Amino acid sequence: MNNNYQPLTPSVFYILLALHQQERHGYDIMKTVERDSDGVVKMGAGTLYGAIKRLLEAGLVVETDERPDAINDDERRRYYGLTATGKKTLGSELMRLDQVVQKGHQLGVNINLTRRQI
Amino acid sequence: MTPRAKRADHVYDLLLRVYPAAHKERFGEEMRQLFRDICKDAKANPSPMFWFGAILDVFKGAALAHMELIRRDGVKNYLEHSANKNSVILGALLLFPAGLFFVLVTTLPWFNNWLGSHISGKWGFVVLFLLPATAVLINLMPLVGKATSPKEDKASGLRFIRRYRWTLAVIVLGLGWIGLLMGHDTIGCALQYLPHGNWQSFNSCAQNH
Repeated sequence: MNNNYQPLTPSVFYILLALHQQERHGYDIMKTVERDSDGVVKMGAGTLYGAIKRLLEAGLVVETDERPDAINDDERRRYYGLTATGKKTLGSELMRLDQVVQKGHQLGVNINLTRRQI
Repeated sequence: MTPRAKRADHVYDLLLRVYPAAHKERFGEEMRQLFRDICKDAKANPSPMFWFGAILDVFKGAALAHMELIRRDGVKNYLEHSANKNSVILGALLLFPAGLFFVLVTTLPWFNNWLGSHISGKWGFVVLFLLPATAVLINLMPLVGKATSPKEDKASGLRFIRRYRWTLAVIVLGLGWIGLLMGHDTIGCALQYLPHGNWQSFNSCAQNH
């Protein structure tokens, strides 16, 4: 289990989550992150490619030849996918978050409160 | 591509120049493509807020990319290999908040009131003095190094000025900014009040002078 990158920042976590579903290009990653985080995490091109650069260097993400939407696609786009290390890191982060939630339950924290209520 | 989209593309391309060359070479085209897609989403007429967000995003990303280079190569190498480029870009990034501050203060009357009630004076001190002073310093260091280097061609001062014109421009702008504040006798007020976070006292002291 790779613990070097934990806890992950929200941007990195949602990028890994988006790439876990399938290989994606930059715009697709950005839209998926925004959708998966219910609009909480919004990234511009600078933030997204800064994060992708770090993830590539860390070996969590790799550029891939897979093109899931090849027919409607612009061939200049580059696609990214998760490496085995990336999948492990995402899995262990989810496990960590699950433990945090369980701990919250044990301590009687009401996790059904909405952000506005908090 | 419409003329408006072409112009937006061109402006974004200019913005991307603040990134380190390697980053721009590797991700520049993808960032441009992503920006085009975002523009399409924003429909025909991107708002000023859209551009403000895009500029902030690029500057933040570029600052992080430069910081990463500095961390990897060390300050000395970073500046030595880039007296003409990276130090200028970093200097420009550091001067940007002061420039933005100047534009907002001179064009928007309500900005001063908002500033007094929302911004800590410590941040004012950082934006008004520390960032411009750092910009001047990091451009002055390699320039002094080049000027005093025995290998450097010192035959023509004009050639030296032409070669390092952008570095000199950042130094002049930074010193000009600090000089402008000194000329208005506000630097004493700033040194007295801003480090303690007292923006209101700084404002009244500066106005009295």
